[in-house]
Amino acid sequence: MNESAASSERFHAHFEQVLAEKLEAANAERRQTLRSMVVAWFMYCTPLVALSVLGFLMQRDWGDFAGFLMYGPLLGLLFGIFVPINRYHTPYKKNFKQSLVAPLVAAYRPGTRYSPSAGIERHELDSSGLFRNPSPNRVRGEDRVDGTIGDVRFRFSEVYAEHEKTWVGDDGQNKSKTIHVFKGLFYVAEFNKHVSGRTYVFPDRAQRLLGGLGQLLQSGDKTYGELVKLEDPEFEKQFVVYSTNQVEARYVLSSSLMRKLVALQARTRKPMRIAIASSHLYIAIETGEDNFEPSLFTPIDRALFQEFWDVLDIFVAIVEELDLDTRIWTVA
Amino acid sequence: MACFAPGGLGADAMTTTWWLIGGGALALVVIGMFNTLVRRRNAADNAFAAVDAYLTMRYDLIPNLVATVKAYAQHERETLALVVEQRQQALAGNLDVDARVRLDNSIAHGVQRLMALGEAYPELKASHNFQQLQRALNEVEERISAARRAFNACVLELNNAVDMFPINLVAGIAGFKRRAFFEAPEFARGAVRV
Repeated sequence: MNESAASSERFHAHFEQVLAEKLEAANAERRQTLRSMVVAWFMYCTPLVALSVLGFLMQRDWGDFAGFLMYGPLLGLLFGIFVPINRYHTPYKKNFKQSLVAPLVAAYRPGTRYSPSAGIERHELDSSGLFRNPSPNRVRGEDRVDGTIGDVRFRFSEVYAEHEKTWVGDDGQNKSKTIHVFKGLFYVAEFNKHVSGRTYVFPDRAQRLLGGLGQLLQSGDKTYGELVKLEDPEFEKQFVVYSTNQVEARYVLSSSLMRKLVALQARTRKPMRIAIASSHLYIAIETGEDNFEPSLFTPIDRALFQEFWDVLDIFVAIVEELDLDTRIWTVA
Repeated sequence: MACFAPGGLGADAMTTTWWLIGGGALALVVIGMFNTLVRRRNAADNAFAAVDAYLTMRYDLIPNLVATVKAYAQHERETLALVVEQRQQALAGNLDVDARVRLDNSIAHGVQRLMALGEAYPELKASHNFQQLQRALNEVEERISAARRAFNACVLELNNAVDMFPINLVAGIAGFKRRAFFEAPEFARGAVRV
């Protein structure tokens, strides 16, 4: 049985033994939360709508006061919509993650920890050097997983990174604009090979679109170092590599790591950026969505937990690849 | 333009001007091609220097290897002596690239045979020295392999330039030649790691 099949079997065993019996209660809590939110909205909105309608009906007699009565509650509705979310939905999500996802992560591999409200920090994104032009100055993260496999420590989380640009306009007013930088999963692992240079792997869009001309353009771009042409045709088709050191790039991107990255790309089917720098491996997978969030409107089922398990599988496969190198160095 | 104006340049002068422009453009193209060839040759030299540096790291580990496995190498005395002798030859220098590659492949083969003694002698395999040596040699072998791949990539670029028209005309005149690739030794193509 290969590793993927074995992991899938472990997931189904954990689901049947632990999660299945909690599903009914979890779905009951989901329905209760939804009901509470609808009731809260109804109780909050009904008087405001009534006041607004009253203002509309009385606008001839009450003048300006009727206008205030008509539009004031509408403003209140706008702000008040978030009250039930904070009151019911946020605690529901927190409880769901603590009681169901955290044990799932712990069951995945002993020593793996899950922190629902923590995320990868901004300095780690900066250390990767993956995000330039613009670099993020506002970073939020959640659903962080920390673990150690062999000698390799790793962690990943959901990350939402933005760059807020501020400037003074022609009218002397301060202006600001938010630029999207990254939304997805960000992964950091220690890299056991000693490297002093920096190597970057990006999706190869230019060569795919423009062929030889694309490669010519890529070789002219020195933002991330020199273009590195590797021997693995499948890897070259999907990725473009830049490095500050040609030899080191080939040292870190061993044939087996290249194969793993191609397989990882096939599994995620999302744009993937990789950096190997400062003795760390960084992988950023742009999913563009909130992952691992339970929906209030669809039943909690096996698929939701399977999604989390699959992500763990993907990242642990990479760690195992790195750890494999360590073990080969120590074992004949 | 001045040449079309009454009293401007005559037909001969115009022809000369066009020749000068054409000649200048051609000279620029030739200089560009020549510089490309020089850049690629230098990149290949530089990459070979990296291979050389890692090969030297391998030579530096050999005395330690010999000292560690000597007591267990009754059946590999010839290999031991050969590795030591070949190391001396390699360090002495004055070999051309092809001879150097052959010599290094032979050294790598010898080192691999000596490291395989660990399989036959569990106490050797368990010794701290041997394990450290194994780690160091694996790292060096990986770095040599990476440097070899980098060198071959540079040689491919250079050889393409030497073979392709019209840059091959400049290469022929300036004496640029194809280079041999640094082939991985036959025995190392399967499991490279020792």
